[in-house]
Amino acid sequence: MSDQSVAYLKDHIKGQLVEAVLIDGVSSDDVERAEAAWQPFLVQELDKHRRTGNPEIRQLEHSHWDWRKKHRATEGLIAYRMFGVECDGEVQGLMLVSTAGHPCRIDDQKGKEQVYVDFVATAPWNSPMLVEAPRYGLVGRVLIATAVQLSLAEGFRGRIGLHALPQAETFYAQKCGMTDLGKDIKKQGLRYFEMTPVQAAGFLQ
Amino acid sequence: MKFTFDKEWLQRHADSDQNLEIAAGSFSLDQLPPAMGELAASPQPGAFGRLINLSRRKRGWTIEDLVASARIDAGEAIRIEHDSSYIPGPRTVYQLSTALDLPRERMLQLSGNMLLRDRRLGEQAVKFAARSESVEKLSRQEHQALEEFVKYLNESR
Amino acid sequence: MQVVYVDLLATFGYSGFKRAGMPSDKKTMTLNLTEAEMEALEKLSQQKDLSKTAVLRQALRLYQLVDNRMAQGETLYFEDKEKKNKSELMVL
Repeated sequence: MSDQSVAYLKDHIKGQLVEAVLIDGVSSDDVERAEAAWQPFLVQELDKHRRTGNPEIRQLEHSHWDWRKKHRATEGLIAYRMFGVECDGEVQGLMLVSTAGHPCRIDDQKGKEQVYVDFVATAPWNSPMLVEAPRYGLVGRVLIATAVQLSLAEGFRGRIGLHALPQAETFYAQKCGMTDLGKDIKKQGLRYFEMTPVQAAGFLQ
Repeated sequence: MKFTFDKEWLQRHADSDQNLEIAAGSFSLDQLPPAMGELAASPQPGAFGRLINLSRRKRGWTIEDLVASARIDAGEAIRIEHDSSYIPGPRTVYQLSTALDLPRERMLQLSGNMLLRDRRLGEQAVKFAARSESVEKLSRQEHQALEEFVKYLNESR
Repeated sequence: MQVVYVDLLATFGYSGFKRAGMPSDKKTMTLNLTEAEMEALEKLSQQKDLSKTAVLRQALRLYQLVDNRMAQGETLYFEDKEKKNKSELMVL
């Protein structure tokens, strides 16, 4: 059972916003559909990059997850929520969040509850690192706004946290206005970002 | 739960968000390569390719069978088995590990995608490479060498 | 003994309730807590800046997570970062 909300993505070909659907409670069928479309596209594009000797290839190869496994591992566990963004009949982005087990780290809110973004990704054809002309934009913004709204609904005042992949640090630092707490050696050296209630209000304005 | 997205708010940010990656979580494989863009040396050049070759042949698979099962490029599969200087990408190593039921992290080290963390792995890889030769069917010696090396790779998994 | 009324719908969140395959109308549950339990609930509520209902919700989520891992044969440890040692948490 899932809920759907109206959202919007930027269609780069049409040059305008188009209607999309935010799915709260992605089903195994949705995930299967996503992977069936994402995987072959990813393999094809990675191969192109490999042949051109693109030095970022290793980074790209480390940036795709098996969402089916994540769905299976978290299905039925009430601490987890999986969201998807659908547009033009395809899944354009996925996000898995935890609503427990990841207390805040910023001093002013240390120990307080937050929505932790376990994983978030846009479909490979939307990834500027992978393709020259990404298809849809705003997937990340829609999903992070979802996480913030969930945090507000849970009584966590908009607090969210996540570990950004290197290529995404700019988005979280500059566009989402999150606090960078530096590299987390317990999480593969990825930088940990956290959003305060004030930052959340600023993000949604 | 219902969520709301202000169209005007999204429109305002559409251009500035463009060309920015958003992925967050963890690296998709257990470990990072030693450094982005740099290649680590394999503990024993050729050992990885030899392991793939023998594991494939033990199953009675052709290269085509391996390519289909692991969903990798045929050209790369051939290069892995025949070019000891070639270092496949981490995703290829991951796919091969899954198809051949070999431990991923050690395969990443053996292939040169990760720095060697297990000194004994290097020694075992040398021993394995020395004991195996390229023949059509697995010789008894190759079979034994393969069994022992795979047994070691799976230890403390 | 204090009594806490828990709105299950609010506790689980609407979509979570739907995932359980239960009807979406509200249900109320009565929790009888001792003074000590209520004190602990109030203290956590203040510390975490959460309503008492939200605290109970978090407790349920964490309990399920821990139970799920332990059911798979894993053990819950706490790590002392300074002393670099781990100790087992006996849960139930």
